[in-house]
Amino acid sequence: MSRMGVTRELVTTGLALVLTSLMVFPIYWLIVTSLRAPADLELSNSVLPLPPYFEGYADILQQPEMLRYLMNSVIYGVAATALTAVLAIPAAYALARLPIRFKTSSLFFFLVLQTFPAIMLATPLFVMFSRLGLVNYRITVIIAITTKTLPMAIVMLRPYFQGLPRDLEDAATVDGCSRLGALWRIILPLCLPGVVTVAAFNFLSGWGDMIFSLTLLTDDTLRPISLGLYRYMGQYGIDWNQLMAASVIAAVPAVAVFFFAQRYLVSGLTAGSVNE
Amino acid sequence: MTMTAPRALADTDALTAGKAVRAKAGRRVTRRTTNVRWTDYLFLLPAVVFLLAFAAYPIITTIVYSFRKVTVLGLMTGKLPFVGLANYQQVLADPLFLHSVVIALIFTAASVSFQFIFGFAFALLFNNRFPFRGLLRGLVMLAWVMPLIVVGTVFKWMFQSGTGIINAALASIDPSLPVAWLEQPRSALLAVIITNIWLGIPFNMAMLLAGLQGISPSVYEAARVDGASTWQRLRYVTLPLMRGPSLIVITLSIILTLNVFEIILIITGGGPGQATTVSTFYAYQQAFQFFKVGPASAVTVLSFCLLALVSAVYLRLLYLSERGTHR
Repeated sequence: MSRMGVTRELVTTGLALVLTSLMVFPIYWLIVTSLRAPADLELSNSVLPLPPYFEGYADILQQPEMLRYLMNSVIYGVAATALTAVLAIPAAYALARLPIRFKTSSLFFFLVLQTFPAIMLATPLFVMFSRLGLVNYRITVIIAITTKTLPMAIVMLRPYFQGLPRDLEDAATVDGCSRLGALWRIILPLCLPGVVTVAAFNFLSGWGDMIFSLTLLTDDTLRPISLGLYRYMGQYGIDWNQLMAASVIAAVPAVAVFFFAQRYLVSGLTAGSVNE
Repeated sequence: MTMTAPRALADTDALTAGKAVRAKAGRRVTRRTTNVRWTDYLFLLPAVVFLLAFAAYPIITTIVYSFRKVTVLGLMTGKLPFVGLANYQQVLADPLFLHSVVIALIFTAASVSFQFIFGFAFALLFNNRFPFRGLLRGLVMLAWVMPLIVVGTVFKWMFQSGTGIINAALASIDPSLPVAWLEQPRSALLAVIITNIWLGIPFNMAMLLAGLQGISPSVYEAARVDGASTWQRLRYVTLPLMRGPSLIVITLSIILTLNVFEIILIITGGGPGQATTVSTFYAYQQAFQFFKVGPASAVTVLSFCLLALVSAVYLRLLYLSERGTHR
């Protein structure tokens, strides 16, 4: 590499380090605050939390309602992901592959719904579920979250199915698979990176949901961690250390799922490019 | 589930004749077609029915309610008298609604433009090869997956006037700089805009990076051979070729930003006063705090119209770009 190339690479790396640090700072500050004793929070000009203080985490994890909020978030995340997968996989496959009519109009329908704001669905959904007597049931929140994740999942999954060679299904059909069997046993395993990526993002939507649990639930025992934190923040005299510790706990699954899915995302993208 | 016919049954003559042997123990021979079978629709049907019931139907009721007087009693008995445009008149005569539209437009314009500028800068940066590129890009993307409640809480903490890090940083530059961020109308709006810009940078970066990576290296090579400088390559090669992806990203960002609600709720609750009440927050208050479902529905319908306009632009751009790549 020429000397100019080396200088250029150094400058780029330095710039990337500085800008990324700035971008990541709020997340860093979240962790720092979660590890700092309440008495030290006033001195926010020291950048390291030394010595680290773990009482915030201990306090949070000893509160039964916090564990309940976390459990509820897991339920909403997993259930919405499962419901979305069951509905989206066949639909995306049909749009990608099957010789059916109304493909364009269905796709248009999903694209329009994808851009639809959740908060605007909240009012009519609340009215609808109240009339059905279903307010304060977990299933309402799961359904509501799925109205947001489903259109996105279909639109995202369709290209994965389109990317596979058609011969595979033909071979499967010849071997005696029904179309559903071919989808389940041949197509789905090959599209696994795509399916996992989409499922990961659906889980993030369900885990982080705030709008639907805010508007469709009044029972505190059903609330997810997002609302638990929101209500905690509304109390008089916030303990920022505890609040940040709880926030870190709420962020961990999201971050874990992201790094897990990112790996699949990369392999999915490269696999797609090899096929073409 | 485990029934598979032996491969030998698939004779090629039958295949070319448009026939194939089907699963049922290999005995029944049916027409293998590429024609539509009604069972094919069953793949699409559950998703469509689900969304018709839980998304399309609520949207239609919203439109209906926007022309009716909706009370709690009326919802129970089903008697919702038609009131024509009264809900719309009421909303449009409310100075608070007009204020919320202005706030939403300021919020959107500022957020989208800076998200785009920073997102583009990051995309250009990460389009180069350098050590730790993957790791750093992953770290930038983190903002995208953080739950909104966590983002809102951290930024609220950073914007605290007494103990917040932002004021501490400002004070270290000049003691007169710190601001009571969340207690004053203008700075509170600025604070939620800054938070939203941070939230939107990863999305802009990812989309624009995909666009940059779609540009063929040969185009740059040709420019280099012609003696174009780095700046000239950016100005006359990259930017013109990024027009399509940029327009799509900006349109999508506008849609996403017009829908922002949680961040406002968490950081300012629409305040101080009404300083950060964007139109989505106004609609939420009308419906869930004042139980004015009729006017809230009217606000929602008005917002639909605006969103539909932007979405139409988005779909049109998407269509044009898809056609462009398949040419």
